[in-house]
Amino acid sequence: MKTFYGVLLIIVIWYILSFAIGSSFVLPYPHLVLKTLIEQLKTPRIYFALWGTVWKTLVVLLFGTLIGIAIGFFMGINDTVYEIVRPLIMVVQSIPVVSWLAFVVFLWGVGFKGPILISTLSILPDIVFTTASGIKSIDGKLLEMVRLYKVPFGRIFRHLYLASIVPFIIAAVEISVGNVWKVVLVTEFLVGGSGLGVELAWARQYVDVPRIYAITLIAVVLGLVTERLFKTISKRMLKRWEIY
Amino acid sequence: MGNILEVNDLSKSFGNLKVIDGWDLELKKGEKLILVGPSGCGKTTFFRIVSGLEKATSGSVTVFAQKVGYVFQEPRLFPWRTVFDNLKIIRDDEKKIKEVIKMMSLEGFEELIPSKLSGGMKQRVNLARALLVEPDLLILDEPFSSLDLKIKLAIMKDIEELWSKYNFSILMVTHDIKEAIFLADRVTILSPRPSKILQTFYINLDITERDITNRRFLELESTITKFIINETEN
Repeated sequence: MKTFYGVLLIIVIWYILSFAIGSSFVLPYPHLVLKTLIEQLKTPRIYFALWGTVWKTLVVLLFGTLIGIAIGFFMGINDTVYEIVRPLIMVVQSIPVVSWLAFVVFLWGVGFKGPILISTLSILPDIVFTTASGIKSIDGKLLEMVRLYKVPFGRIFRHLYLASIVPFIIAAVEISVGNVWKVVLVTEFLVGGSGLGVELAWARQYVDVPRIYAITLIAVVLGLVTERLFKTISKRMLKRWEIY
Repeated sequence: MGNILEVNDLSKSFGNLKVIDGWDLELKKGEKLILVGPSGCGKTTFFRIVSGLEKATSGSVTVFAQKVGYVFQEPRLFPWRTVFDNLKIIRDDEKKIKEVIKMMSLEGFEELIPSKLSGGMKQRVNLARALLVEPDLLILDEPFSSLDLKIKLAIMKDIEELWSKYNFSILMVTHDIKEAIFLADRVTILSPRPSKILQTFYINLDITERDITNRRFLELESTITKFIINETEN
């Protein structure tokens, strides 16, 4: 019920601002945006665009997480690797998205590769550092115990390393899920071949402001739904770790 | 009877800090040797050398045991795994796991995670894990230091019974003379750092005399205590 009042408050503020600004080129009224949204949802084009963004985001999350865990794992178990790789990851973290955009546009031009690469690089550093911290926080005495008992490395990796970093990874991915949509949309907007970002670029081209807002609404809902979905899944997964 | 462990002129230093100074020891198959020494005298370092986790500065340690079981000072259990799964990680043999669970009176606790267990129960899992590998040599590093007397005596009694049944060798370190007399065939007294072997006492007590209220037990405790006090004063 509180959420409903929250949404209602947003709509009221939106109406007041639209009325105060008085220009549908800057801020159209909510009912106009809603009308455009319904029109958009009746066309197959928006669903293709939506799918274009969704699959790219899923690929980014999968690649980012897997590569991040792999790099973070080696950084966590070996201090020399950590010291050598850390500056590189920090540089990746510091490079602005626009610089990557300039780079990929020369390399590949417009298409799906640019948004995937840039978005993966945007989430990678958090996953890497979180995984490395998780590995470093493993109880050394537990590690010593399994080594003394000559437990095979596969079992140590699964039961100790992987199990220890799960809460860390879930926290990092949870943050990434919230941010990755925004990066995917920006990169699609500038170098994408398809997706909601590209639809936004076209809407801007035709100065179709209600459509810009309608697509933005779809992106917001998508972001909120995936975040909530991931939180529900992660909560279940973390239950095991939280009880001890 | 052959030896399961031989230590020859063992020394260990960390930088300029000498911890172990020229130890000579041997442990026969099926024998129970307990090392008693003050804190910081290198007992745990010695165990780490025997386990292969540390290298000796000079001298040698030879372990002839095929399988070694370790009982640590703290239980070292996977906090997110049940008792059963903690054992399964070490040896994936459900029949044997059930056997050691029964042996250590852990039935009914198999599906609990360590945080739901008392200190005594955790140490029982620690011991069950060591028995799971069917050891020739059981190494115990101050395993009872965090337990109250009642639980300590119960677990020591269990170890004594298991030893009678399986006849593995026992090497234990402690600073508690009672614990040592209760379990040992031989008690070796260590000096403070840099520690040397001062004296070895043979504990010729039968099973009925291994009782902390027994007269012979108390006499032995008194003899060893007096020896340690004299050595400290000298």
